[in-house]
Amino acid sequence: MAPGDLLAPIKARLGDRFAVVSGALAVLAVVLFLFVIGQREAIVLGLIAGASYGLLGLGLVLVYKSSGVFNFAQGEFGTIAVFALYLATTQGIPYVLSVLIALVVAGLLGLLTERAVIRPLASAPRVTLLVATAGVSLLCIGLEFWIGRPEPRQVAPALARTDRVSVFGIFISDQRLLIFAAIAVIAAALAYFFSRTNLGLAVLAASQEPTATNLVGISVGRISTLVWVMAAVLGGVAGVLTAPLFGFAPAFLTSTALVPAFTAAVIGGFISLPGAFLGGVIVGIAQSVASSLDLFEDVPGPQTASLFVLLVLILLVRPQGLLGGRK
Amino acid sequence: MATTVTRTRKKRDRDAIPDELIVVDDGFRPSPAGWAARGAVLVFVAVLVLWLGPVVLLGGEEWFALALAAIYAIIGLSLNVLIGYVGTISLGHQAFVGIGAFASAYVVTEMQQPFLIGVGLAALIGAFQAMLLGGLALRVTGLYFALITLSYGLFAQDTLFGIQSLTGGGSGREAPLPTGPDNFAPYYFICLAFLAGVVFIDRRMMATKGGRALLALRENPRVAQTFGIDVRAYTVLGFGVAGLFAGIGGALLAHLNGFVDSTEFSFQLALVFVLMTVVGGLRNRTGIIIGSAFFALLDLLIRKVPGLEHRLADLDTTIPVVLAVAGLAVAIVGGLGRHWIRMGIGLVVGLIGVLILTPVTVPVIENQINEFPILVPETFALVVGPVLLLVTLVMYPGGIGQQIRPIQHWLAGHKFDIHVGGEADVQITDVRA
Repeated sequence: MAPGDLLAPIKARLGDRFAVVSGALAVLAVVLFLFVIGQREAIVLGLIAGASYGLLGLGLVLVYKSSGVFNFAQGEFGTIAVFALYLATTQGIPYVLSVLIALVVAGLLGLLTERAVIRPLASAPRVTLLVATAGVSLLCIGLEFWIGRPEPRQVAPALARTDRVSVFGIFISDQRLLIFAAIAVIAAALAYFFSRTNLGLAVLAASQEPTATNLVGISVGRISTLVWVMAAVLGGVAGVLTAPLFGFAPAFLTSTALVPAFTAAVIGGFISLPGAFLGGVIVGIAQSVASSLDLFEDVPGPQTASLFVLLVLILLVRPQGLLGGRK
Repeated sequence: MATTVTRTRKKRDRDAIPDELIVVDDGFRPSPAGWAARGAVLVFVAVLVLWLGPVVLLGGEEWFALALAAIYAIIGLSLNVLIGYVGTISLGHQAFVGIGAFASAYVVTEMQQPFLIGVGLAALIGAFQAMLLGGLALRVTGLYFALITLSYGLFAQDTLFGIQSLTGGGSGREAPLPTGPDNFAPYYFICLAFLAGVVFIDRRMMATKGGRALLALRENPRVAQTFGIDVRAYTVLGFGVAGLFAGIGGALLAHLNGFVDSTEFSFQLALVFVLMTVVGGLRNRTGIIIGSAFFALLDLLIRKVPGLEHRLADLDTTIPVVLAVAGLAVAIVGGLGRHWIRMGIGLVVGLIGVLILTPVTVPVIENQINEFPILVPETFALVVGPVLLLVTLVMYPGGIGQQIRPIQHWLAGHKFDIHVGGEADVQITDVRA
């Protein structure tokens, strides 16, 4: 009896979910294996880093889900927001108010991007839009380098305490916990938005059938504006929450987190909101394990290399991602 | 577009214009004076590039920048093969170029081989790595492939270029100028010769079966396959040619700088390559050469145009004026047209401009404005380049190539027609997604 036959009844029972379940089991097995061979710290560090990627990834998923565009400007939405936060806090404006200002600035940037770039290109191919968002990103980077100069800066965290929680001897700062909380709240809110509200359904309808959506009286243009403002605010949240961890400089989110966030979104299936978080965690763990394993000691840039390998593997083996379902 | 192709196949091959761009032949042939005028223009361009520009206009001091422009043009043509012909996007072109640069540096300094062998091997290695990536493009297409190239570029930058034994690790590797130290003038002509070679290969490829197969592929791979075109072979071929060009460009770049290290080949460089190719105009060689040279020479342009650098430094007063005037104008027009959002944005922008201009009332902003940094040439390129890209994408999808198409058309022996090469001909509707 071939091993395939043994699996047949399980396959039949799980149906479409077979791939998801086996994928999840495989991931779990890898994590357990790493746990056993003493990579506990790497797992915790990866989980922490993965949360930031997942947060940025949520914005990417939002835009892709509702307009089919890979938004390369997502990182810059965040960076511009951080610059706004920095300017506001250095003027002595209270922190909460500064964060609000930063998010409003990010939202305005999203609005501007949508009006000036995305809407005129609404009928253009998706890859043209990709280049256009990369252009927006580059323009923001240029402005940041010009006005902000290429120097690292610090911005205060929302929660300063760093030694409240420790897992396997690694302290997780309150700011990190806040990121986890933010992801959970945002993912849940977005999932609710897309599945339970009329507006969310309208957004999905506009992405699947713009003409028909217009015909039934929903303004596709307004939906597009809404989505981009939402995405930009999400990017702003990602920036404002992650910048205090390492400090920031022009283009810091684009250069450190954008590609991991994209990889995270791809792993998650690019339309799945929890998938973005799951993908972020997988990417984070893969990166931190790759840089701590002795096996890869001689490989320069293990983090980028692991990212590339992970992306190629997932796109070759399961292009629809872990939680993407059938295409 | 109603097209009747009446010219013979032979003639069309020589023109190497894609079929969709061939305009109705009205039987017009230029008079001898017309031919002479066309010839005179071509001769003038040649003289401008070879002697008038570098020696007379620039006083023979800017050979380095000019060689860089020629190299960028080669890289632009390489990217054009991928985006314009194969129909995939590469956001990791710094890897293509960097591999060529390191290959040539290794061959010349470690293996003590002459410069030309270095460039040749760099081209071959560039083609090889591109074909490997092309194999991947057969499985993963569109947006996802763009992501792969992006990740590949970063992987090359961090990992491949960090391998100590091949690239010298962080300390980089020497790549001596073949024409002697700091003797850039002959090197400029070497680069031009390579550019001519690349243009020739590109032209021949697009005028023959392979090029037409690629164009058909780009439109629709399935239809192309139905017509008996080997999709796999031609996709990999396209990647190979792009890698070949990029390898040559990288090798020339390495020897121009005299030095290669991995920090040069960053993601931003890849974005600049995409920028110059798209702004130049996909599938228009002349447009791409102009576009690439423009981005390479932007720095030089700012330094050489009288008063421009000075004016850029004064931007901290110009910008608020522009903000105030433009913002308030938008607000008024928006208000009249009852576009309330537009009016609001205009008001906010205009008020920011006004606030900056009135230092007495707002001390907070006054403190900032004194520290407002001046716009240095490098940053200027970073700001102007993306603006040009966005304007190209949104308003003139054919880029520079679209603008110069009437001139090219005239030079090829047709009547001058300003409407040749309209938007419909050059729309970037071809990238597979």
